[in-house]
Amino acid sequence: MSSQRLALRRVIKTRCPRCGRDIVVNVGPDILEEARRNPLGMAGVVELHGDHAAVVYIDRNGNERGVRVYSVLARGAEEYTVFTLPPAALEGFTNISGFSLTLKKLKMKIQAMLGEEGVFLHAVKGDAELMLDFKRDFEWGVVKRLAGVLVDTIDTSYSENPNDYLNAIRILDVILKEPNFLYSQEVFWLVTNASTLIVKTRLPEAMLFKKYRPSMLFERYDAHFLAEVADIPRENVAKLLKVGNPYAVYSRADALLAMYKRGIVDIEVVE
Amino acid sequence: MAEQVYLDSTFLLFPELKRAMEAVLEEHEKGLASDEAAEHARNIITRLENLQVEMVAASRRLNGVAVPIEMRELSEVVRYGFTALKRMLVTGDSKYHVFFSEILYETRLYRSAFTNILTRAAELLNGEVKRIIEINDPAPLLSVRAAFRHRAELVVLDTPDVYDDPAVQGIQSDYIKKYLLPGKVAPIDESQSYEGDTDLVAFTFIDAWRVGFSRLLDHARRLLRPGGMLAAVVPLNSREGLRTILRAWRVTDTIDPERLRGLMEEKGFTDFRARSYGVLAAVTATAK
Repeated sequence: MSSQRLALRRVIKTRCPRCGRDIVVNVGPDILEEARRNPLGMAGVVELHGDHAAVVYIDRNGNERGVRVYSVLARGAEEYTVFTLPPAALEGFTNISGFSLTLKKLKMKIQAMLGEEGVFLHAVKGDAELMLDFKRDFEWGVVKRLAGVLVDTIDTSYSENPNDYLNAIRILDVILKEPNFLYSQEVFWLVTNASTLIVKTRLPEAMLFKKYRPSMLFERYDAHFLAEVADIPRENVAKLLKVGNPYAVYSRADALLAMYKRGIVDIEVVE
Repeated sequence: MAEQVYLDSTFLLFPELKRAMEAVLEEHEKGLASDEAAEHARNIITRLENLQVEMVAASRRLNGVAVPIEMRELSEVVRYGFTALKRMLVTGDSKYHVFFSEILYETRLYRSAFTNILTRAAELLNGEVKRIIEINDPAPLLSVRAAFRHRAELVVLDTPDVYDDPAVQGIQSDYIKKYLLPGKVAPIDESQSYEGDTDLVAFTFIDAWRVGFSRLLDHARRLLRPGGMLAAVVPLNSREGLRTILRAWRVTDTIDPERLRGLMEEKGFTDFRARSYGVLAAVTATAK
């Protein structure tokens, strides 16, 4: 008898909540690795079902954490849903003059003001493709690094809301001129998935949080925002991130993650 | 007298600690907690039951006595600490334990102890402060404050059980990053490069006390430059109440400030100062 090592692989069987079709997910190391890298400990596996896409969320232990259906996407097998944003969407941008983002797995394309000539950067990761056009020249190394982080994040995002991606590009626009800005990939991930996530406060943590106001959080983040989040039982992340200033969007997303990492809130996928 | 009230008050936390440990056993029966966690919970319950008489006596002594607000506040946070401990024992998730440490540091007693230490640090560390080290603190607030004031490098040294926990290490790194300090989180076994070249070594939380006071002092002595400062918050363990509670977090080494002074002198520290704040003491000393 050979002493070959038995390779076990978890297979998850679930059902699409929209059409009832069976979904089979082979949970391989790539999925577990993606879940390990994800701030909420989840990886999404997409299956296209004609007029909708089903995303099965798998956690770090290989267990299913819910299925979400995206209805506006994937009208046909090869047809992309294209969102062309008006010029007003890029109002206030100082460095990026246009962009195009293609999400192959969701059959979705978002574009705004991308001219035919200019200084383009083309960043590709997995199923995500990002094209950026700039108003001025930058140190190429910085641009490549930041765009690389963003496209890497977008590749594991499943939002169907163009505003989520626009918010991430808005943040990129301001941090391009601040190469020392302390950014984190997990914050970008939260921003690009904002519409698909909800925040739920936990008790007694939220109550103790408001009462004792841990210094690190209340000194480093907007105290009003923290108190507001601790007060609401449940809210959509996109709604909580809805502010004009890109730094504020970033800081709020970072604050939500800081609360999540301490068990003050749960962040869950909207089913 | 006031100290007695504080120490007696710790016995009032016994019923909640017992309930938390019983909840661990219930989870174990459902197959959701490890045998090791269940064994630990059983040991704590046995200890609490054996101290029933002392608990009743402490309750009697407190009858009609106003428990200071500082102690009521500390008790509220420690009660949450039991919840966090139960979750950590059952699921291994330490994020609630990190939150517990952060709110514990915001209680009046801890804040006073930290203020005492930072005032002393301002007196002792007058010159260039290059490096500050904190041992096993999930939320290194005291050393962040000191490093921020002196623009010093902050290194958080962890024993393997703490270092290998990504939830804890992530928050420790966040402290360094968010206060824009140079520094890092590192395993304590890789701290040779800091030997004799550190201006301040601090330990303030349960996770550090678990290492044992003698070993903590050895680490501090090895790391500090001559004249460098040791800063610590230690529990006052002269009664069985707090000692038993701390055993729930596997703190088995107990010490009172007088014994600590003796130990410090043995290990080459001088200029010892201790001031008690309820059930805690702020201790400072300098390396010879």
